[in-house]
Amino acid sequence: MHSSMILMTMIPLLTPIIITLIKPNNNLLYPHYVKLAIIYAFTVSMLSMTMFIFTGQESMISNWHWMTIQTIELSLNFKMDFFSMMFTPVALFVTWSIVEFSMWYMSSDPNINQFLKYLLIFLVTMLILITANNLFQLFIGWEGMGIMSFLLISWWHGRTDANTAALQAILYNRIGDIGFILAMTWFFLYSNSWDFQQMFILDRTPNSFPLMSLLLAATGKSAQFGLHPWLPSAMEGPTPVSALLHSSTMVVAGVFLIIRFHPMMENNSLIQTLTLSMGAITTLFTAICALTQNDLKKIVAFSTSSQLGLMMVTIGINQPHLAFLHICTHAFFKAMLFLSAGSIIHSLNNEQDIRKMGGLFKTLPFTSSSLIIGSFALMGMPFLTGFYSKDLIIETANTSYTNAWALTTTLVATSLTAMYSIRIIFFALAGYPRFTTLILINENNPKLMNPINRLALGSIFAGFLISNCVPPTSHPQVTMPWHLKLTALGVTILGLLVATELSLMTNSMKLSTPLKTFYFSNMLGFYSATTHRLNPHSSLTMSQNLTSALLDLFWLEKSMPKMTTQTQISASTTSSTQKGLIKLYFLSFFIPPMLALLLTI
Amino acid sequence: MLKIILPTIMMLPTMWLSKTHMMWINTMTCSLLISIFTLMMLYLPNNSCNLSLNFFSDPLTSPLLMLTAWLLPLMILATQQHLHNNSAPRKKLYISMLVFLQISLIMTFSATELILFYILFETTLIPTLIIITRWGYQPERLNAGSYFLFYTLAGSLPLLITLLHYFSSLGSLNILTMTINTKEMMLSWTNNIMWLGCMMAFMVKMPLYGLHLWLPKAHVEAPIAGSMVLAAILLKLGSYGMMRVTPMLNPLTEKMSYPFIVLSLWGMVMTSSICLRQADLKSLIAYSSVSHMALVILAILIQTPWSLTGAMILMIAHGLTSSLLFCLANSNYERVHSRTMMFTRGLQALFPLLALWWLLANLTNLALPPTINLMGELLTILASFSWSNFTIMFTGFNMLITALYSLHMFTSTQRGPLTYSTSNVKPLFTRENTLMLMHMAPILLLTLNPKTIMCLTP
Amino acid sequence: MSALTRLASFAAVAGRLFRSGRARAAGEGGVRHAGGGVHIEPRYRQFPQLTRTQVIWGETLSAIMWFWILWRFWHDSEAVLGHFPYPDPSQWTDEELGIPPDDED
Repeated sequence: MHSSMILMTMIPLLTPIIITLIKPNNNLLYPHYVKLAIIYAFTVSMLSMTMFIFTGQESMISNWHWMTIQTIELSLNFKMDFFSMMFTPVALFVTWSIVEFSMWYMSSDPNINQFLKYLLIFLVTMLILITANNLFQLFIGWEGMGIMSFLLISWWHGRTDANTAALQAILYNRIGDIGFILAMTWFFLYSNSWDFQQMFILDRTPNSFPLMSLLLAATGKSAQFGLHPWLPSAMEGPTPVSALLHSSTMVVAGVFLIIRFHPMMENNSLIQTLTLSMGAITTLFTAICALTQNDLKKIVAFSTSSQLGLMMVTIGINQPHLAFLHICTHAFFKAMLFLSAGSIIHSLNNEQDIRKMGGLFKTLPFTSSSLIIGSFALMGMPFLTGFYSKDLIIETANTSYTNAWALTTTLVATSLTAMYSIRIIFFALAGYPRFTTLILINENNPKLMNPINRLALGSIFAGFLISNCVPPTSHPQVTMPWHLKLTALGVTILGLLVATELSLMTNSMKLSTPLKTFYFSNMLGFYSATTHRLNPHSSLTMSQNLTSALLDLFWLEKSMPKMTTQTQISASTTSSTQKGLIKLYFLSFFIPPMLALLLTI
Repeated sequence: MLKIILPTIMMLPTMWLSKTHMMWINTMTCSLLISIFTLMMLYLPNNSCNLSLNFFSDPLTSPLLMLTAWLLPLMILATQQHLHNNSAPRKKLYISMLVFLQISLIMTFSATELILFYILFETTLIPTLIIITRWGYQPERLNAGSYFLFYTLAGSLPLLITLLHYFSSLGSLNILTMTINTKEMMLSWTNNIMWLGCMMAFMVKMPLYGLHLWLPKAHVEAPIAGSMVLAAILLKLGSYGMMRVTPMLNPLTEKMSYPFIVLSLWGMVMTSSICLRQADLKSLIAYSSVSHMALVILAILIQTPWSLTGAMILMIAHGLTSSLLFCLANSNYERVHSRTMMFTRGLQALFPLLALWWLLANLTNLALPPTINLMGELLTILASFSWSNFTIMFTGFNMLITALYSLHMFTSTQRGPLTYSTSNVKPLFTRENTLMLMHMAPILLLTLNPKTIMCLTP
Repeated sequence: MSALTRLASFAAVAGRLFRSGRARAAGEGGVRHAGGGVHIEPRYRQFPQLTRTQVIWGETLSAIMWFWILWRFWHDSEAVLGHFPYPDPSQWTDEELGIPPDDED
């Protein structure tokens, strides 16, 4: 039963891709085909999900045998367990909304069919990753998403910044891939298999080496601190790309990988501490960076990065199911934030700087409602979607025996979340208009309003629905002192109040030079400024001077070929008595026999 | 085997006697039919097919034979443009060089005796040298030809002496009986020199980093068919020879291979870094070949079943990918007559199909799953990790830099703003599209069934 | 509310613009046009015309959100305020815990 459901989910998604190969003429109805395919797939996956919730039956489907190499057998293996069954409908729902939105946003693009095809291929690779049961299939989905991200970030490929951002994304993802390959090799050599069930049965307490390499892989893919600069740069891509890849689906792949390995992670306290610390640093650092950015999409990108850090923190306190819940709920409101941002950007004639927006409450009522709903959901307003995951995470962190510094950092980052959300609302929506004078503001397209509608209703209700419908996975905290219970709400309100006060004060302060901390925050902690100059310059200079000029063109040439030629030439010049007087030599060979002949005749 | 060798020899009279306007068609048809024969006759992966006293095929040779036979029609397809202005006898001379090379390559890969293998190994040098020096494009081709010739000869003369010594001591150098006929080589000075004598020829051919100077020169200066056959097949002669000779050299290989493993690990990273800074497109692809071949050397010297499988898959995958990249670079060259990458920027806006081929070629070059490139690299990395945990630093770093320079190649030629100088370039001809497809289709289809090239001897 | 009152004056003037405009699908008519949906005339230095749809939907969404928050808070306030009072260990007596008094042996 499950296998046919999986097939019915995957095949409608592949059909539009195959259509472009068979009938490649530019079809005006192709966007509708894509949207319909995703709606079909979503409906079928909802069926599978509800059946899973009802029966609680996980399954593993292994069909096509690919190859057998001595002791390992690789075949197409799908794992339909709690994580994949719950996330597939969420991913498909969000993609449905984004595809419909991109039919409005990219409607003036002559290659919109290719764009939607790329989005669809991305979705297929995402589903391959979610449902993979062995590490090789997961790697196929992992790299596939990386390459689609490259193609989609550099969608406007005449723009140098877009190309650079795409290369940057590949660079950081590849550093993570080194970790993935390390983990694959270790697991192969010690558990003789890449299948999850075999790895978990054989050894639940491996040493820290493979788990650390998995952490490296997640750091690269999910933009944790150290490998994070690609995520803000990835905002060079069109807004639907940012909404799909870099908020809901691709960047959670790293966290998803670690969640898949939770039977091993829960036994290794070193890895848990590392994950916790990594997540805590990331969430605080990116929240600080988001405070002073001026580009709307970059603020939302840093917000995504901060929430990813929060997911890592959750895994660090050994709550993988809560982290997964946060992945699902975060997809809704983050995608909606991006779609609202896209609506604002298009309406203001591609203006992305929040200092040049304002007064949009009255001019874009629908978009501003959705932006506020999304921001509230992000901040963890009670009973919206974010509350059911984020508040639970903070409560669990507060009541668990964990690193106090990580806990404090996470709480500070929570209040900073409220602060930058208020900053977006204050600059973009409130106040007097600061945009240009020719008003082209129009949000009345159903292709814009329906996706945002759906995602808004999802942002409001989905948290309640999901958390009440899924089976309880780990023991929930039922009671804690009231000051711990209200911590998340308290720091959020604190952040709200401080941000509102500060923003209102800016109307009456005089202009002065910014503080040093402002520079730290605005320049992203100077991380990009230092590493993006030091590392590439040194490695490229090294490769140019050392490998190319010095070794190849100089030493290796001189040592062998040139040396042999030099020795040969010098030997032949010193040992040769010939002076090249060919005629003389020939005559000297010719004349004596002639003379001898003449004398004897 | 005569089914394949005799038709290839007969291609020579076919071509010389055909009319000028039918010449290309005849040679293409003949070479395609021969490659179909190879596919039909040599797909016996579980048994070795002992066809005669002199020629045989087993799972190690059949993938390479298939690749060789498949490559000849591709080479002929690729050279039609640049020989356009030559007179008919010149064209026929060129193709006869290619056919002569093909004959010696087929016989090399299926030879039973090692001495026969050696003779044919040396024979392949002559047509290649003629192709590089006579039909190359720049004056540097003379230097390139002599580097190519003398590097290979200097490496392979010790091999001759060593093989003769073995022949006199063992009685027969038949590959099929070698596994039961050999003596163990203990650690001694003589045996060390013997080991070096056997291996150095193949190390130069592969090429090993440090002995690789001939490769950028030869690949860059050769015309397109020369580049294709050099990158795809002639480098694999070295690895094939290594795989044939190492059964004779146990257990000395465990000790003697250390410096070469270290050199290949280091060379992998070095040559990948050079690729990041090249401005010349063909030179970049040539250094990329050195980097991939260093992985193959690593795999062969580690000598586990997994690594030999990985080496074989990597050989076939790299052959097809490198050849495809050279064809793409050549189609650039034929339009702009320069190999600099920067001259043809932003082509994706003009030629989307060409951009697709470039994208696919670069994706397979950076070993995207689930292509066979990744399978080979993964198996090699697995085996080298089990040999020593520390090697993962080099192999992982190499993967990173490979991805970077592949996408750098793609971005420099296809993306960015269009240059003003590309105002009169023509899009890809059908012939060139067929050429790219015939490279890409085996890579994609072999992804579905890599067992054929996996050299899994039972 | 001011938005709605402002809107009412427009309803008298131009009828078609202010129904929920029927959007043209991408592909109908064979002509690609950026936007689709209801056409709003660009203006100079004035707020754009608002349609009834967008205003009402904006208000409705916010209304749904607040209604949901407050309704949930009424029924489920324990989620925010705590399900059970946190027990204070200092209030537990010795008899409950089963600790014998000090002068027993």
